[in-house]
Amino acid sequence: MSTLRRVLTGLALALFLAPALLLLFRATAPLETAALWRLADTVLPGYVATTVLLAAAAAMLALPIGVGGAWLTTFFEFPGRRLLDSALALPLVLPSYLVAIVYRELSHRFDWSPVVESPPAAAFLLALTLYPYIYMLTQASFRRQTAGYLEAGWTLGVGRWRTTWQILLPLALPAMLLGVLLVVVEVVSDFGTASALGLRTLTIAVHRAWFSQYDQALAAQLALLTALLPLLLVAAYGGLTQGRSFTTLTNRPRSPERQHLSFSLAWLAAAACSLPVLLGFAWPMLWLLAWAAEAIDRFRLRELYGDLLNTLLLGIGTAALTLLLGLFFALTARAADGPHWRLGILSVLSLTYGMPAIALAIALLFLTGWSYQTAGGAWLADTLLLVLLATTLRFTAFASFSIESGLAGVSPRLDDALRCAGRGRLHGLLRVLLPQIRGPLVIAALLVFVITSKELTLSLVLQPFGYGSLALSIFRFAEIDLYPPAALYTLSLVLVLIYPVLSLNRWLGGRP
Amino acid sequence: MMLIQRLLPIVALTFGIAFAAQAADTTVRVISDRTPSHLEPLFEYYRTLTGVEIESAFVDKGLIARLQSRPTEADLIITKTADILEEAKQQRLLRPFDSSTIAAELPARFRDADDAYITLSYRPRVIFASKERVEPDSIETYADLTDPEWRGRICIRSGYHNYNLSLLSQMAEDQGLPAARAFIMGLHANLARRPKGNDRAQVRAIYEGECDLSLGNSYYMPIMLANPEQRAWGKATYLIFPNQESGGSYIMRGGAALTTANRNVPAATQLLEFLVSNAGQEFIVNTTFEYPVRDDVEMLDSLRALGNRQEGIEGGRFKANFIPLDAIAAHRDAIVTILDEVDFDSDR
Repeated sequence: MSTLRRVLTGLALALFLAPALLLLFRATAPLETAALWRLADTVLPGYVATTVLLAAAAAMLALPIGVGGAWLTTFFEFPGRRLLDSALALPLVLPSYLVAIVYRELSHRFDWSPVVESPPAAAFLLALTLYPYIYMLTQASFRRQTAGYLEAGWTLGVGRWRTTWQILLPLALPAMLLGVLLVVVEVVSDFGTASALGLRTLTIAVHRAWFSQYDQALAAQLALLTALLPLLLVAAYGGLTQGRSFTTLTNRPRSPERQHLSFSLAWLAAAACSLPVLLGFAWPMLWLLAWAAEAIDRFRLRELYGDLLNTLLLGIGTAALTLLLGLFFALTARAADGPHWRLGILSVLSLTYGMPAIALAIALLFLTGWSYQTAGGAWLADTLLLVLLATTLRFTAFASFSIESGLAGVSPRLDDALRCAGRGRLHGLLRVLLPQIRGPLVIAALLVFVITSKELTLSLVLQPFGYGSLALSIFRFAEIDLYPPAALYTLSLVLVLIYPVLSLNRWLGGRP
Repeated sequence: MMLIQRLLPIVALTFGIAFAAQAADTTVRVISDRTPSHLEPLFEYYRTLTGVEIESAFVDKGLIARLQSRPTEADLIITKTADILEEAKQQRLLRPFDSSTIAAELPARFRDADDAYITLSYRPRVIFASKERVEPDSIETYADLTDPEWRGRICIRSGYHNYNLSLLSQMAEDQGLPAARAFIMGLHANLARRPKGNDRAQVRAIYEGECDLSLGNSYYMPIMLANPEQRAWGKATYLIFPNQESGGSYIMRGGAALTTANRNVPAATQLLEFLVSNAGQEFIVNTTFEYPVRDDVEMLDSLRALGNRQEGIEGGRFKANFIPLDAIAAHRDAIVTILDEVDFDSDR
């Protein structure tokens, strides 16, 4: 690796580390632990237990839904397969906390609707809205695993089930683990759902320390504690995937022939794939539509327009920046000799991503506070750029992880071949390497665009004057129990997000 | 690569628009944690009245952190929880206002002793009681809620919410910390369920029969009655102003203050004066259903009806306990400690 690249990577990592370092500084200087110990003696164990159980349960529920959906839609033909292939990603377009609110309201209005204000029910709802991460990443991985592996297995007389268990799933391991990681981080740093369902999680405790107690040291300590769980997972991911090869047999991946299922199995598969879409998207959407209909006469297109523009600008800007940074990091990790750079990058990115959004937002406030007196700093704060910086810092992990899992499937021999071919490095990157990982790249851009458009906390804390976005409007209406206008803005957000999500299949080349 | 080529113009556009938004101006900048729809009509009216543009940021979370990190980004702060203004004052983030109008028109109990901030409006934290299951006058004080008679019959939002922290801190100042501790423990023992949801969710729980009593801010009654979805909740309950024989109900205050920015102090002071004027007060009272800080502002009909089942309450007028905000702030940490010890938000 060249010195220039080392320096650049180091600088970029320092930028990503800055918020965590500030938190560490706030948490330890002066080292005041009395409040933390008092909390540890009283309510903290409960917060930690709820958080860990919630994250574990949500991940355990989301994993079979996501992997099962990807497996069925990739390898089998059944009624509605093409529709469900896209539809399984749909729950992603709804903010989790809004789905929680819909189910909470239904439980109050109808006796048959289950009560959701408990940790197990919350884990189920979070799994319903977050499993698409696992689904999309695993599906991209399955599609890249060439039919070659499958066919080789069959030629050797290995049955379909054994091929799945012994070849396909292990090869998709990085993608599945990354999906789980994303789910866990989202659950751990979630504020909206926990708040809507009255759960006591670590992120709730961080908010409490900051906004009810004005205790910055305690809030920083709790935020770092919260970021620990994702960090542990990343370490596990790094350990599990390090030194193992996930490369594909050929540089021309093609999707496997889909197997036709018997009548009853085919309908069973269709039902299994429909259920998460129905519960995580269709059912809440139905109620949001009903609520939105009540508010349609109070609808003002002019107000929506500004929100829409900001949402698009932030989403597209963040997607572009995170893609560039993610590509840079992933290529650096690939070019490095040992595992250290890769693990270092993974840890730093996931630390920034894993800390509660509120901690990142406030760390950035204080990091940029001094510069507000300067023209440049004031300009940064008075435009969308500071929010853009924040979302980029937080969500680069998405892009980097997705690209990394894509590159893991590309043989290192390709790099050597490119070097031998004598063309410029950029040429090789653009013409050869990137097309190989088109799927993960598109997924990364899409995921970042979707999650940024739904993002709430960073925009709320760092918003410039005169700013509005769809997510902010949804939150403001939902917070004062005005569900019809909240639903109306949510539908607008869904309209923005649904085309990118549905077009995913075309990009991934899944259709003939 | 195609993707990047397609995205480049859009990224360029992002930055372009960001630049364009940078027009220098002489507007007044207001930062607030209030609901935008409560203030925007007032700002619009003020613009037509004076020609002064108001640029606003509605930071519902972390307002104090914004003030700490960029003390001069706004000229004026408007908050629904004046407690944070006391916190800001202690951190020297406020500029005392210099206004003979405010001094003349605003009673001293609505002004900070050092003129660092003012109260704009207030609402008592009251008891909501089931019409069916709670006899009028069976409860007169906050402390009555700890009576074993109400075991398993009270609902409340998280004890750590600013409204409850403020209420409990006021009690600690008013009756001493041991009394506040006894209240917290007694209340916790009487809860019907784990504290969750907002103030209105507790009234809904009374409507649904899960509990008979709850604590909440007074304005939620008119707000619920005006909302078709929630009218039934409001109608199932009536409102009790506590402590009318003993000092008065504890109140939550909305407030405003100047920041240390020196960009446009006269214009910001004028806006502050407008907020306590007759017209400004009417806007605030009409949108928030809070009580005005001027006696000559008409109370809303929906406020006059509050407390009509309670002896001694006429036309919604109640006795409020105006405990200074600095005294309230001093008890906050002690209250949080007690809540932690009791594990107030735990499952029942």
